[in-house]
Amino acid sequence: MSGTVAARITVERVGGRVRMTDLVGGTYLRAQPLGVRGGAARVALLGTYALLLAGDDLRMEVSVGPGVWLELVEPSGMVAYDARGGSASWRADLRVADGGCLVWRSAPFVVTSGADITRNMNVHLSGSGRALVHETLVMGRSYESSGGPLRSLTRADVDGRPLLVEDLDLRDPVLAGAPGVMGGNRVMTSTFLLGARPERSVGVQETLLHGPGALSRAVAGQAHEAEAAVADSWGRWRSGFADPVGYEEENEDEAA
Amino acid sequence: MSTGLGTLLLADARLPVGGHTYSAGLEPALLDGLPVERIPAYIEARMRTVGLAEAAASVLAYRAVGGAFVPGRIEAGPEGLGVDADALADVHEALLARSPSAPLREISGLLGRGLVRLADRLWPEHPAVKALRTLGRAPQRPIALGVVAAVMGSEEAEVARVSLYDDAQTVASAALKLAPVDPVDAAGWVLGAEGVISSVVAEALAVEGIDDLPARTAPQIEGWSLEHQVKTRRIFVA
Repeated sequence: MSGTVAARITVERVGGRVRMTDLVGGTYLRAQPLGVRGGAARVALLGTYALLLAGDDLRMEVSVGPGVWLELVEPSGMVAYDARGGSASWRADLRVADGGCLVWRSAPFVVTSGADITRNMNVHLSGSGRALVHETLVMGRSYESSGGPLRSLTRADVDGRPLLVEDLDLRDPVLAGAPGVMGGNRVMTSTFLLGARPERSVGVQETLLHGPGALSRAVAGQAHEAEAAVADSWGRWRSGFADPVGYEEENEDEAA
Repeated sequence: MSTGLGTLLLADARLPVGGHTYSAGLEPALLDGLPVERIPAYIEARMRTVGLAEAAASVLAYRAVGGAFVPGRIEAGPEGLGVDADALADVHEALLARSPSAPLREISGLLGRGLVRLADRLWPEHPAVKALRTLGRAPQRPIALGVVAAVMGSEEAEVARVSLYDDAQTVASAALKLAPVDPVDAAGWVLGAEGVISSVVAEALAVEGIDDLPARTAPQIEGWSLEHQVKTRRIFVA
């Protein structure tokens, strides 16, 4: 697993203008700038080959500077293939500074049967920084009844205080399929709003976290069912808490 | 000095702390179609996910207030013998971050409040109870359980075991009110969980601090709790 290069995306203000000061695709991805508009930037993440295979170790480091809005766009899904006795890992470290905002609607993460994968997402927020992240984990391709083993860890903190810690451990098929865990469902979709708290939760998918944040989640047999169940949360939270317009306008005023 | 009586009291549903309002998620699980014969699998799934996180949090809370105090091994803090109110607050915060479901945090707070009331009346001057009070009137139940167990002189492994036993017994006894279940079968389910409880107790005791506090996610249990809170016809609050 050594020798792989992490993808690095750093967007910050330099002399009042937003710049992508670091844009490295790393071993597994290509990071393609889609443009900057005022304080808002967009970057596409493209896979360099069919991901992930045994021994692969994909790492991403994303850093959003103070007052910057960044959206990551992932046009195609990620597939973890049968590791045939080996294993693979995926890790994203996301940092958002005070006044910054990260929006990432990640593409479905498909874990085929036999893929032994550990997934780690860490979100570090400072001050009023926030992140809106969406993920869909699919256990097995459409013709497979299950996938994995998978272990997916999520950690989010605000100024070093824990906001959300989750460890979805589906390595033991008995526990993974047990009632209360996945209960025979293949798909779990989650939308995380971190660093901002809506006034109340709407519908049975949403819950407010103890700290500044909310989670919308659905488990279902098929990806489209799970996605449909949380679609409303994504739309509402995006326009309410992660809208680029404020950033775009603010900076165009500065430029003028 | 442990007489064992305190631990028995904590495991007894007759202790007036409000446990009868809680089905440990069984009511919404049955409403979602969980077959009665899968209840033992549900109990085991709880033990290995939320049960582990809660048992480990109870153990850390117990240690934070000097429950594991052995003369000469732990230094006395300003609040009393081995009582560290800041460490207790950190465990509470770590547990809250591992409990995304608002209704589950709420019911845990209700049950915690029952234990706080008990501790306030029985040991109002105890430094561990004073530390517990700094967390407000309704701390999460596992934290209050760890503190009360420490005050009553329970041993560390008993704290973890009573936490898991109570969870399994909550499911089993709720089943009697929700489904046509023979009470003897329900008792058998709890006994049948002994193996998994023992291994989860060992896992909980191996936890050293909040950084390795388990956070095993049970997405369906969370989802059921959210569905249940909007139901108008229900026997249990969660």
